[in-house]
Amino acid sequence: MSRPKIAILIPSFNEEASIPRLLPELRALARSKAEWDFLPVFINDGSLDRTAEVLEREGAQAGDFTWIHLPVNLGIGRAVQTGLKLAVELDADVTLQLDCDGQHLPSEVPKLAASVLEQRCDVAVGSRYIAGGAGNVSSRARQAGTLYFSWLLRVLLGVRILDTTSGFRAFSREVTAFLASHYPDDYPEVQAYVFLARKRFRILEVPVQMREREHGASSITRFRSLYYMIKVTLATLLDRVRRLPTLEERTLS
Amino acid sequence: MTEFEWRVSVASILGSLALLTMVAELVRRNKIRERYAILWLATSLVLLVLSLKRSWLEALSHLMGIHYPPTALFLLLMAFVLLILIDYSIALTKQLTKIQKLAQDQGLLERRVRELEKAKNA
Repeated sequence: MSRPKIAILIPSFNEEASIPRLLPELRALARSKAEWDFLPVFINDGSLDRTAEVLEREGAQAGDFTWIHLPVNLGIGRAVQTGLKLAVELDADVTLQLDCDGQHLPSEVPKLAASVLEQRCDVAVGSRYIAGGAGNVSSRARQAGTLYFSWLLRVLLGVRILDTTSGFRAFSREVTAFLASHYPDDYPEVQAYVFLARKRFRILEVPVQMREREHGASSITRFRSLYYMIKVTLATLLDRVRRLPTLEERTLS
Repeated sequence: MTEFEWRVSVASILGSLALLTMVAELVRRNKIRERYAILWLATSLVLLVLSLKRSWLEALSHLMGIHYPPTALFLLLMAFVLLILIDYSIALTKQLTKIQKLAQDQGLLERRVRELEKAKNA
């Protein structure tokens, strides 16, 4: 195999402070794994702070990453999907999703990417909850919610994923192409698994370390968590029966 | 039909005529596209016909077990309004999908232009 191309999608909404912290870690990753080509892609989801300026400034100097400015805020789901479309365009072998806020460690990227590259799975999920994974096990409420979604996915689809709200994931080329045309809109962490399991993609949890988030708050605040759980449950149940394209259709689009 | 009963017929005829005229005028002035006017026109026409043909309205209310026929008009209006609202949700979803795709493609194109300009200047 020639040099594998690894796209790292980093959805960024108001992350002016996190980007300069993340860049050195991404560069350390590129140095530590020189036999792979890494392409970090920041997706500026209509940020209201100076995220755009920071990207332009840092990018003009370095040129070892790229970025997309979305003209309006589309939300995490559509932002990631934009990155997936670019990954298809750039013909990446593996496409990862990594949070900008510092809780996902770039040094854990090779572990996830390797699982996909070595074809052990189609989707590798960075997990705090399986043996070997650790860190940032935030609130008990959040943990309970994560376990609840885990149960829901097992009952609905028979897939076993413990860290259901982890946004640290790696996708194969085929999964990337599929999700580029069919990515869930509202609650992509949990909902994406419904599509992926229904299409019989192999999902594997890989233990990773996670860090306390350095900046910004989770998109899921404790106050809204119950409301969130109800909405995700409804969306997930609907996704179970939603019309999906056939395999033939999805390669065409 | 008593003089008092006539009043409700006249009122509903005038009401449906007003709706019909308003929608037709809005279409004529390009304020409503035909696609969105069709359900409104259908609503006003059905209401108008049933207001004019009291016997049809009575047959309809008899069928539904309604004692007072003008109530059937209300029910019908309600059903049409629900239909129109669902139609709006469909239209909204379509618009949302298109806007999201446009924004994504704009972002991807902006990046491509940036890369091309960089390559040109290099």
